[in-house]
Amino acid sequence: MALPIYVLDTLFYSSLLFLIIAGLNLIYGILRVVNLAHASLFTFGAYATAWITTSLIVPRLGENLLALMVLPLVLGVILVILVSLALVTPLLRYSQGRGDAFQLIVTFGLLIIFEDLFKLAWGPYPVSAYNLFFQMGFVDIAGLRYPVYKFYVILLTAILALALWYVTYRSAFGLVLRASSMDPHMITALGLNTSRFLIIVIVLASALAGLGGSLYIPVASVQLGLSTEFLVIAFVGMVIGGLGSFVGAVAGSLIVSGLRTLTLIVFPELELVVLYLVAVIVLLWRPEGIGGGRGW
Amino acid sequence: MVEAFRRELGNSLVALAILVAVLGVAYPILGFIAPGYAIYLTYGVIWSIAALGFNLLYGYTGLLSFGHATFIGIGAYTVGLIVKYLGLRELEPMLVTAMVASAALALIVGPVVLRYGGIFFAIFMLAIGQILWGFYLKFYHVTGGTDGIKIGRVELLGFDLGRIDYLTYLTIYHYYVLAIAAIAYIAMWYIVNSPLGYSLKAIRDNEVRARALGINALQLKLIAFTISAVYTGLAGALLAPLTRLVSPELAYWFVSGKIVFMTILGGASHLIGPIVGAIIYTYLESIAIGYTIYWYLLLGILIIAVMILSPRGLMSLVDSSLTRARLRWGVWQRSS
Amino acid sequence: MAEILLRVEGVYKYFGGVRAVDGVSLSLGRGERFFVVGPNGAGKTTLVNLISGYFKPDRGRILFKGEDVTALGLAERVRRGIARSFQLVTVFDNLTVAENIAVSVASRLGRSRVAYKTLSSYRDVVEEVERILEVFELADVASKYPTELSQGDRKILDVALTFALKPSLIILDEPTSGVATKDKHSVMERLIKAFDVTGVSSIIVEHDMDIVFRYARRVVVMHEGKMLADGDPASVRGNEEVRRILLGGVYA
Repeated sequence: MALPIYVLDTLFYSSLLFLIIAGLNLIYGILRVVNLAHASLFTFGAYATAWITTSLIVPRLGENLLALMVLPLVLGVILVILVSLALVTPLLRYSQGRGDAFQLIVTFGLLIIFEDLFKLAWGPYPVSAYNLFFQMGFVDIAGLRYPVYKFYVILLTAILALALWYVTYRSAFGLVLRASSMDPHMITALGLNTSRFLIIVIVLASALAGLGGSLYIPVASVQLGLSTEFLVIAFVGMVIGGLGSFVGAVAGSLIVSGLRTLTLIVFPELELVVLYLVAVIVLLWRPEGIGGGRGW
Repeated sequence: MVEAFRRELGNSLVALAILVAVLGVAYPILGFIAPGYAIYLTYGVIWSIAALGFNLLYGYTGLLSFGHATFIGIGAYTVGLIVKYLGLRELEPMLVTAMVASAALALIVGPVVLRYGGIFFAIFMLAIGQILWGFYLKFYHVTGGTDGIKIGRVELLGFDLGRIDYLTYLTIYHYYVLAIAAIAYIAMWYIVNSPLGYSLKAIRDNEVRARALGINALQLKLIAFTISAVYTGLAGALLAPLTRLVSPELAYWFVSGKIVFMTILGGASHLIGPIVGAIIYTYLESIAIGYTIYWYLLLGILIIAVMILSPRGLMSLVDSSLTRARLRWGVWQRSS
Repeated sequence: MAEILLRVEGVYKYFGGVRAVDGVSLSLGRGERFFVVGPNGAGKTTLVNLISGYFKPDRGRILFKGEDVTALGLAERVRRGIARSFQLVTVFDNLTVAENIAVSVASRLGRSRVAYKTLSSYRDVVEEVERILEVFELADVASKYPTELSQGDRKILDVALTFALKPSLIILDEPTSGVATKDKHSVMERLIKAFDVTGVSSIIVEHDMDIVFRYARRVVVMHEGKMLADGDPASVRGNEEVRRILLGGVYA
């Protein structure tokens, strides 16, 4: 496979992973809660966006590029946020401080609830909405046709990552994020309402995951079991990058994507095995992960 | 002095014996009043072996594994592959092979993953399970992929049961499984009350202190992990002749979650907790599946409800009502 | 004079520019005991950390049972018989008092791995647990859980766990801290009695001067890393410098 294609595919996949891992790390770093159902919001974003695209946008506005780019994304993320506020946030807040076992079991329960809600709403068969993907067309890279859509995703996520970086390191809110991930008392110490702050964090994390799903759907179909697929890989990335760390989210997503894309070319069956082994090696060398140990 | 080594109701050999007796007697009774439900008792007993194995690691050592489906899968596929490639029908050598295979995986993976506790361990185990699940799925020439491997009747203790009617076969299988379970229960009682068992509890309560007392925590955890794997692998192997189909679903991580839940449901701090939890859960699941195709929704709600309302499980509820009863009795005695 | 168990020769420990332990030498005989006192930051804890092997000295050496153990780490020293108890009580909350001690005894006897016999079927373990319960006066609470015990009993259980390893030297770091004042004396009494009866050598870091002067036969006074005095309570109390630094002139 040509190098530029490899790099682009890696960046594309890592964009999606980053959106998931960033959210996982926000929730873990600041609330100290492990959320097995996080990738379910990614899946929900994919389902919701597909539905909005095929049932709401295309019938009314046809294949209008701008409409396809903006509306499903925005509406999809809004839906994800609403569902997060209704189902996920209360549960995560309740789980705070109740120990790993409690959180893992309870978020597992949430995950399987989501799976059945997806089945209820969209059935057990794959759902897709390739409209935007095709509308954006292709471009020539190294003699091969490469989808413009993937560039779009890479660019959009890069901007978002930069924005997140800016917020984290240059804004007051980011200061509270970083401080509270090292000591939860910092939230009130810095003058914010703890409850509201934590809810905002969860919503932000959920929105990122939902956005990831929304960006994913134009290139692939979504079906039951997608949550698990992304969950396991995201957790491996989280471990490699460092639990609860922003830098870790970036590092983890890039490394995992790079490895995965490579492995898929050479040894597709061993995709998970390779990731797993690398995670173990990283942990043996640096137990806090590459960027971890210092909170968000 | 020996009473200082506390034995509550849920931890006594007597309770185990009574339970086994109940499970033996209940089968024909169920066969009479609700025949379709008798088979779930057998399933429940098999899952109870898995849950007991899981709980040695969770309740007694403090390590939560979200990947015990791994060993169910190994157990089941051992049977499947032996039947498919060796044409063997005797169950005993298959059970032994399944246990050895599970132990082997535990001994290979253990020294690495046991260095980490908490979330790391849980997720590592989940990932291992998914890796194997992926193999079962993808290497379909060997494993049959999603179609799985069909298992016909097996020979128990050398007896060819091909010609008896199916219901009798199931009945014999139930008592076969129950006998194995009884041995497994008693063995676990010994393990849990042995120096190893107490040392594991010490590690769970305060690993640093345990190590300061000279306990080799990693080694003991590895032993517990291996025993846990063997129990769960055995359960997986016992499942195959009952489901008659060995498929990747048995190794999917949702099964790991169910094992965790049934243990918690029954109560992780008592020996019979996981057994009770496994049997009750098996029935709940079968009722839910019969009721709606969205039974994962029901299960998820149940899991969350149980964790919020009764995280210490049914056995702890039994404990507290017994304590209340004892207090009331004591008060009554003193006042009379 | 008993055989010399521990010899500390000219040890120094620096943390950056601070001389936490500044040239301390002392020795301890088998079965003997001394208390270590001094204001905060005097170097008491650093000194015991050096002896137990948590830190290695920057200068000087430590000999235990005639062997130079200076280069040995914590686990190695534990194996040679130096055991240390911490200020924070760490026991196993979900095991009874007797079970707590049994775990320690089983570990010492190398039985921790046995999975096929019940712990209570080991006669030697049970007998030794009973002996330890007696020596520390914990027999009455043998079936209770640590959370049901008084703070004093919890402390004693903690020490009993360390004691079950049969070390030659036990180091206690402020064993009566956190214990209600009315219980402090009984706790110290029980500990000392246990050590005397079994002949275990001990070093006790203590803040409560009342306790020290009541129970000590030998006191080592530390101040700013140096050893100010090493002798019986009377002579220590009579020492001008010690009085000034330590007692603030309250005790005559």
